[in-house]
Amino acid sequence: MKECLARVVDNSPLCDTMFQLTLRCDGLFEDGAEAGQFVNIAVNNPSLPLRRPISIYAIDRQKREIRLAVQAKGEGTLALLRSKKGDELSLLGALGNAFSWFVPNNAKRVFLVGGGVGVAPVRCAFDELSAKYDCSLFAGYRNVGLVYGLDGIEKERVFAVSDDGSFGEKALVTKPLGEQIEKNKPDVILACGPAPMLRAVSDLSEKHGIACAVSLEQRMGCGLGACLVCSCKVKAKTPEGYAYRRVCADGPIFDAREVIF
Amino acid sequence: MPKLGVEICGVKFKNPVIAASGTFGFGREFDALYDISVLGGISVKGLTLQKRLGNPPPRIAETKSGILNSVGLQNPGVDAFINEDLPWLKQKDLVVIANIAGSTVEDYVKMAEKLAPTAVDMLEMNISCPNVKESGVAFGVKPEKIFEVTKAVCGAARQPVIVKLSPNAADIAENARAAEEAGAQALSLINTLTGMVVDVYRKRPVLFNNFGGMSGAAVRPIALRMVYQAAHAVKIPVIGMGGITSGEDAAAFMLCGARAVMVGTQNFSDPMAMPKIVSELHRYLEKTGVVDVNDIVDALVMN
Ligand SMILES: Cc1cc2nc3c(=O)[nH]c(=O)nc-3n(C[C@H](O)[C@H](O)[C@H](O)COP(=O)(O)OP(=O)(O)OC[C@H]3O[C@@H](n4cnc5c(N)ncnc54)[C@H](O)[C@@H]3O)c2cc1C
Ligand SMILES: Cc1cc2nc3c(=O)[nH]c(=O)nc-3n(C[C@H](O)[C@H](O)[C@H](O)COP(=O)(O)O)c2cc1C
Ligand code: FES
Repeated sequence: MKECLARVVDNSPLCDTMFQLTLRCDGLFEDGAEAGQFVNIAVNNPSLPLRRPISIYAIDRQKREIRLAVQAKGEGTLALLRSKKGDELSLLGALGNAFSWFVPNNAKRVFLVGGGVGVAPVRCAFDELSAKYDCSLFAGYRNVGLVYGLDGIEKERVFAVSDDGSFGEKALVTKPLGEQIEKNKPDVILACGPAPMLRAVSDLSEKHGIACAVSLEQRMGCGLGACLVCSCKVKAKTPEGYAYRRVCADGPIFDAREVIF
Repeated sequence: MPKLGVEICGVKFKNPVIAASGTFGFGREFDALYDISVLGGISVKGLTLQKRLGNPPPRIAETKSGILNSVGLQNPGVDAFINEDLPWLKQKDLVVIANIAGSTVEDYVKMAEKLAPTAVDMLEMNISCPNVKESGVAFGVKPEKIFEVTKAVCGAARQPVIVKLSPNAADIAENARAAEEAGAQALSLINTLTGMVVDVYRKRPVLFNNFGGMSGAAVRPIALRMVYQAAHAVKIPVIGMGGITSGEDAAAFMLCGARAVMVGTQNFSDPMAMPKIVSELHRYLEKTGVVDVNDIVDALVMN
């Protein structure tokens, strides 16, 4: 983990609301970067004091590049959208734990589940874990205009749906997930997406007795584990029955059974 | 080579740049980025007598050039700090300040007693945390209360006591004097300003706690004014903070009368901020032909 300068190699559209930043960043690779980890990126706007946490979408260790899939949302991500080839951005990373932390060595089949912006880290995990495990990617989008992250994957390994039926089946991602669990039960499920989706995936995994890890989001300050602003609620043997963990340093990936959604 | 060393209540700091409480944990996380021994000191995360879980998230919101937080003093408790974090911190070469917060005068006194036999160098009384309902505000804004709690802690403490003042006060000079009269050996200010950020689409405040404490560059002009007023109301040393982002910002506080400074929010914008501020302060002294940083303390010429 380091603070380092990254050079924008490319900035291009990914779907209606998202863009893809390709960053050359030698410093980041000194300590390595893995799927599931994120970077805290300074947005080159001095009136915005907070860095933005963004998951790693693709890793190219040869070229020392990473790609980020970013949704243009508020001022910070809009500033990133305006960055041009050759610009320098300060990154803090790679932060947090990786999906591989949760996958036991003897696992064979891994299901990766993403919803919307949350497809980014699980697509990265698909690319990184496929060499070792039999991986399938499940993705849910609001509509066809928001689809990204599926190119270059064999058809039989992708199960994509949309809320309005404009892309794939009109369904929630838990539908194809449930069907495939019945057919080919995986050893592990890894998921990232909106809270209701994570809850549904977590319930489904529990019902079938499958280990499940979820990647959580929370507003962050330091990104390092020092300021305690990025807390999420987990079950704990405290008098209160819960405790707070730091999404930036203890996560962002948690065992779904521990999380209080 | 300008000299950067300062001394407060007999405690020597290698430079006047100190990590502000709550933004730097107990130092371990930032030490993974750089050796924190380059800093003058650290004020650790606010400690309470018992462990505290803190407030539900979201605990942070952004505003132009500032942030608001409502952590609610999540911490492992003073005993856990003494046993698990202090030994590690003491291997480092910097002044260790224990920031303490309580909901009653007895809480503060008990913590001062527990810390008395330890290697902690100084105590900083957080009498002004706006994020804990029963604590802070009640003590932090009324001079009689400040006097009462400060006097009790100074009676129990072995280390020099710094009283951290809240900017959410009617008259900062009066509060500064109340702390001094009660026996405080130093003051620090400002803590955060109570504020709110609204999400107009959700029609809700961003912070779960609704209100939070504002910090960062946006509060600097208020902080400078208050540090100037406090420093000129008392004889004891003052540590200034609030929105410091550079060596020049640090110099501004020292010119207003601060003997040292603390840096908080800028650690989030730039995790390497404090080592940079130390070298920028050095450069400022060189540029202005000053040989000793103590010479800029209270050197402001008012119009
Ligand atoms: C671990 C992690 C990984 C993420 N990965 C991605 C990703 O790969 N692609 C992507 O597009 N987005 C990702 N996000 C969400 C992304 O951080 C926010 O969308 C972004 O910070 C919004 O900034 P803004 O300036 O556009 O919005 P604003 O609403 O103007 O931001 C205001 C403040 O709120 C914070 N904030 C707002 N929404 C979120 C959120 N959902 N999560 C955390 N902080 C938020 C911002 O960081 C900023 O501090 C991730 C979040 C986390 C915690
Ligand atoms: C996330 C966060 C947590 C804080 N926690 C504490 C605390 O526990 N005790 C305390 O005395 N001050 C606390 N503060 C206040 C800071 O120490 C400091 O007084 C304030 O942030 C102003 O300085 P800055 O503008 O450089 O951040 C906290 C500030 C932030 C941003
Ligand atoms: S963002 Fe500071 S602890 Fe997680």
